[in-house]
Amino acid sequence: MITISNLCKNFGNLEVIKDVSFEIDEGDIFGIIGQSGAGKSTLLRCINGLESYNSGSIVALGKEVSSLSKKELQSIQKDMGMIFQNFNLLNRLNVYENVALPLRFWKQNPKDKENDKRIHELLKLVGLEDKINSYPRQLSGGQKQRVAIARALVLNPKILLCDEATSALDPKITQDILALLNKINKELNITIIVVTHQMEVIKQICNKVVFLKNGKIVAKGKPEELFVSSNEDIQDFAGDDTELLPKTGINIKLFFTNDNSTSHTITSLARKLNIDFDICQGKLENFRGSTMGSLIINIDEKDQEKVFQYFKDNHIDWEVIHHG
Amino acid sequence: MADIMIKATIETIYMVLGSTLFSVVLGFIPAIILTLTAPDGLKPNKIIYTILDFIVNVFRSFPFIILMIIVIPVTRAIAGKAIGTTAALVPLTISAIPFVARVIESALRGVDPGLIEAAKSFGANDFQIIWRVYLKESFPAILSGITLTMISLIGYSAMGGAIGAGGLGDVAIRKGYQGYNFPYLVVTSIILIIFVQIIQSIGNYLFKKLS
Repeated sequence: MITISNLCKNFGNLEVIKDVSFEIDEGDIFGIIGQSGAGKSTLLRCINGLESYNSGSIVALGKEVSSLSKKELQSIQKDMGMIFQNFNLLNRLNVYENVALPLRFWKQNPKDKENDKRIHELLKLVGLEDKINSYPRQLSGGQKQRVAIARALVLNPKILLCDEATSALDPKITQDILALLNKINKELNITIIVVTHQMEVIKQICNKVVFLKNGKIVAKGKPEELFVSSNEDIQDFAGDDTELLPKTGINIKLFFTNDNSTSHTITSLARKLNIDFDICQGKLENFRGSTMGSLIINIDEKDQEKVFQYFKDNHIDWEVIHHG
Repeated sequence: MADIMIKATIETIYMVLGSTLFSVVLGFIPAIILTLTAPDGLKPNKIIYTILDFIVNVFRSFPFIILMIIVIPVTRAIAGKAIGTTAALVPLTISAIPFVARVIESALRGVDPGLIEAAKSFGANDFQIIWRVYLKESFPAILSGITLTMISLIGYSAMGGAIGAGGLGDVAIRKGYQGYNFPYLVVTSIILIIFVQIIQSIGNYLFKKLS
């Protein structure tokens, strides 16, 4: 649906996107994650033509974005709704008029039977039917983002672009908005591209993710693969703190998926090899409903050969954490 | 005295309303051009912006009393004469255009750039962005700028009295100052103060109600 190849973008002498390539398929909830200044928002704006790019290519909905005339660009923008961190609602328009605004840009009368029905349906979808005459200042952050979502969907887009859409919201409201995005993806069959610095967002709704650092992709794949990988940049970003681990012996990180249970593996490791070890750190994480866990244990150096062999025999994913 | 005051008050209202109307209509054009061509505008253009910005600044720095004299040929060409209430509309409007351009420009540029970006992301064209986002969103700020313009025009119109523009300023200068009639000075001042109060109150009320 969107193919990006060798994309580069500069602001003056500053390279903000460096040779980025990836593909987004129909039905994806595609995550672009990275720290502030990594170039992720700029990348998103290149996709719908709000920003130009210096070299490389973006083919969106079958068209090379940089080659489009102004009219063609506007028509591709019609197929891509967008929501923002700061919601960007017009303060002087009520909820209904805010949702109707993109229709007016396309010279459609919101009061037409069909359009009016659509606005009401969208407000129902986002759960704000009762706020139809309210003004943005009377709404909470989460409600404002819901209005923005309804507005972004009013032109029947094929793709929804989310620029840090939950970054200004508290954790509970973030959950609600993510659930809503998931619902939109499943029920309306809209492809969603999510730009965020929040790991939670990626874990909960994305089926694919690219990790951007200083304008470069340092990792891409499924979220569950990415976050349990030993990629230093990602671990650094996630704030995985290995400083507190024991300085003696060997620290080993084990990864668990739904298939093998944590306690079982560990207890049988102790029993079968008849060794002692410390359990230093463990956590379970939720990826779109499936649970992934990791556990860090500390073993004696003399035991390492047989422990490694044991992991190998039992098909357990593991890695040694080296002392920083 | 009452007759003179009523006549002068009507003349002042006429000058203020007339020049406000013309200057707002004419001031909108440079305001929109400045907003569009500003570095962060929809159509950034350094040359046009710099030139227009300079012209606006030049006209704004003219003391009104001097501007009034300088533009006498223009006044004659437009109004047919240089003296009188209607003729005074010309220098008043000319002096207020750059002022209006500035206050409207600053109102327009006060619109959150995020809103402009959102509108663009939905495929809006430049005209729609100006009309449906810039003007719509900054309307209360524009109104309050117009209030400010009217209040300074009250002051300017009184100054116009110095060259025979009629109105309250004319009465104050000729009857009050030159004719040593102190009550005239007091009464005209009181009427002008009341004017300013009324306009400011209406402006504040509208700003509150609309924003």
